[in-house]
Amino acid sequence: MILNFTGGARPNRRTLYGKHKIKNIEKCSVICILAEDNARACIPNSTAVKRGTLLGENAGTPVYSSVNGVFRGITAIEGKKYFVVMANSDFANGVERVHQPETRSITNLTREDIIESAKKFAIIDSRSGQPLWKMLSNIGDNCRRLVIDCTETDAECAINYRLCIDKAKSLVGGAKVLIQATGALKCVFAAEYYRNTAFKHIAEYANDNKLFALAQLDEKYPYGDNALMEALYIKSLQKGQTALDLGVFVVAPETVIALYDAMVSGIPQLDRYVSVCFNNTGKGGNFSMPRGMTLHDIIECCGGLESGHFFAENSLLSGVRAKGVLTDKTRALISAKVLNKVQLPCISCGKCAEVCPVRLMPNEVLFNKDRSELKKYCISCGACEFSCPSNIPLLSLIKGEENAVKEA
Amino acid sequence: MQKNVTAPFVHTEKTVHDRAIEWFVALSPILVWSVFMFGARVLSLCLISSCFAVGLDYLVRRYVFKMQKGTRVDLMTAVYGILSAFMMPVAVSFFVPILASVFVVLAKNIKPFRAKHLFNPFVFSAAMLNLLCKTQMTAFTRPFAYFSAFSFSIDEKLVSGYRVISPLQYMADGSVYEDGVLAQLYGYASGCIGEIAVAAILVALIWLCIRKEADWRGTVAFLVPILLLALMYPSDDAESNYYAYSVLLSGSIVFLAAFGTNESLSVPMTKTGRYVFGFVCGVLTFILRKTSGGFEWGYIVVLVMNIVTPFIEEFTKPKVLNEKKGNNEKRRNND
Repeated sequence: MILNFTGGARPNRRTLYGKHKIKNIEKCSVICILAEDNARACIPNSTAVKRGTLLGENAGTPVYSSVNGVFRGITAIEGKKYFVVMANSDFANGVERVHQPETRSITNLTREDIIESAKKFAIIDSRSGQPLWKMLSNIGDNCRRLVIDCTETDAECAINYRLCIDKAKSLVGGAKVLIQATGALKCVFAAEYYRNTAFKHIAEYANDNKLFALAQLDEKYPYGDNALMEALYIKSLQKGQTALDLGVFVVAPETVIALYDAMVSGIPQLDRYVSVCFNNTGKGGNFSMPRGMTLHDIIECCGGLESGHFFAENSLLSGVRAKGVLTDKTRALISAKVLNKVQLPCISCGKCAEVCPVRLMPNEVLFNKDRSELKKYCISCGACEFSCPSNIPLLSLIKGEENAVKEA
Repeated sequence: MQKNVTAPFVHTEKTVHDRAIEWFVALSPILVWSVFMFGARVLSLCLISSCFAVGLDYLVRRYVFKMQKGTRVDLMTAVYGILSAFMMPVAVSFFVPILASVFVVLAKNIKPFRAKHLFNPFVFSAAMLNLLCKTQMTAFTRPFAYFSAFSFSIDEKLVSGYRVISPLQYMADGSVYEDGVLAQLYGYASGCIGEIAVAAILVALIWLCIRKEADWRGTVAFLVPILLLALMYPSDDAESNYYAYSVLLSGSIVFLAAFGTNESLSVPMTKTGRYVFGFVCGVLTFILRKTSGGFEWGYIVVLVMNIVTPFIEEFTKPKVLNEKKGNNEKRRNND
């Protein structure tokens, strides 16, 4: 059965990146890992560092160098602070092992042990951008389900699909660790229904039907917490609620894999998995790249962007223009170009209401001066504006960004 | 010109013009069937009506609403023009489609509430023509009586030579059309050029539903109550089933149910609203036809319902999902 949720848009897939195996990036000149205000470095500037060398601490989570190079301290760039490491030419060779691998069996691990491991190996959840240890610490005793969200952030990308295929063993192993940590009774792997190969690979290792389930979801976007809860459990989240409030712990496959690999190898999470998608150019693919890699390096490695194009982060529907460095939430970079659209009058076709995941009537923004309700419940998924045949900038209007409308 | 400074950075390939093209494609089987039944004059009527409507609408958009270049031509106006031509008999003078286009443009540009049309343009034009040019609009000729495609008006004597009574006019006398239900379904009966081919109308509707340009809800809600009421209150003159099918297939009922409930700017946007709209239209049409036959009350009913559309829409607005209380009882198998 294909599970569905209210609304959602289905952009066309231009290039199929599912067939691209995960490759390592071949060039990196500098890495910049975002530092919070209370971040501190534990080694002096200009120290030669290796991959895995501890650089400092960021809001309680250790920060490791993801390349071989020279540490340049915590530096402010365009109003934000970063741990900066200038990479050597052999940026990915060799790793400094600061921790020992976990030798105990999963059943002998307690929640505290796993939280401790997630902390020392600096596992960051790529879905929420939060450190995994903090997420695990917030779980009460009511967590009943672990959902591994293998859906993509956009129809274009396929990084989660590739992870399910290329790292199925680590994924299922990590899921077992997280089941132990969360106390969940069951783990659900949720992905788009047409990802059959991924389901096959997961099922090879996750053969305990009582513990694992596979959920085939409709190919619609965006899959936020609300959409997932509605598709899987027919439950809707109230404003301000999270999946955890419903007893469901949702995590990205990359995070699960990183936790398992780190515990087995003793090496912290140093790399990120990212889909880099171009429009029908044959370029791009699925990459493993050092954490904190700059967009400039990524563009160079992938053969450059076409003129007039830019990278949208995670989704063409609701993402933002990527700039600077790879963030912990970046799972896809999708090339997009500036669209020149001629706005026409609303034809009241109802497409915007049809695709709204929260059942708003977005075209009301055109007739109703009071936008507070629309603004209050809108999740900025962009599905309405995407679907509008009259090219009305509905999302901008709802968010109150009048400039976009004035240009129209 | 608008530039996407913020997301979404991708846009549906379907524009308003593509939508009009879907309608053209959907209407083509009806047009082909009408030409087969009534000759090339059908093409002339459709062409005059749609061209005049587009031209007039262009002038209104340019000089009255002062719309910017690139937004002045609306192909949907041509669709409305064709639909209004479909609601005429073939023997009308060419001034009738010209007048129809004026009414289409008038109704199309009156948008008092929430940018919605006050009246469905092609139904409004048909209703007005029925009031103003009753003789011309009720001069139905038998199928395969082909008239000149280029004569401005057809000689009255010639028209009266081929004149027949339409199924709806039969019903005004309390009797039923006797050539069979299939003749009405396939379109061998006399009547307006686009309304007789019920089968072609249904093909058009299916196409529009597949292409997501129409919603079956309003149509079903329109037709089902008429069928049920006709079964419940049959005519003394005919077997109840036969009477019910005749009521359903005569006049403009299927045409209005298919296209009148799917003109997005004059019907509710919400699914429940469409059910309400169609249901009320169906019930009122049947009651008015039963009590006062001979006139296609469907037009008037649709127009009245068009006026109340914004209110139906307001009352049938879906509940915002985040407001809803979590439904703990319903849970799926993978739980």
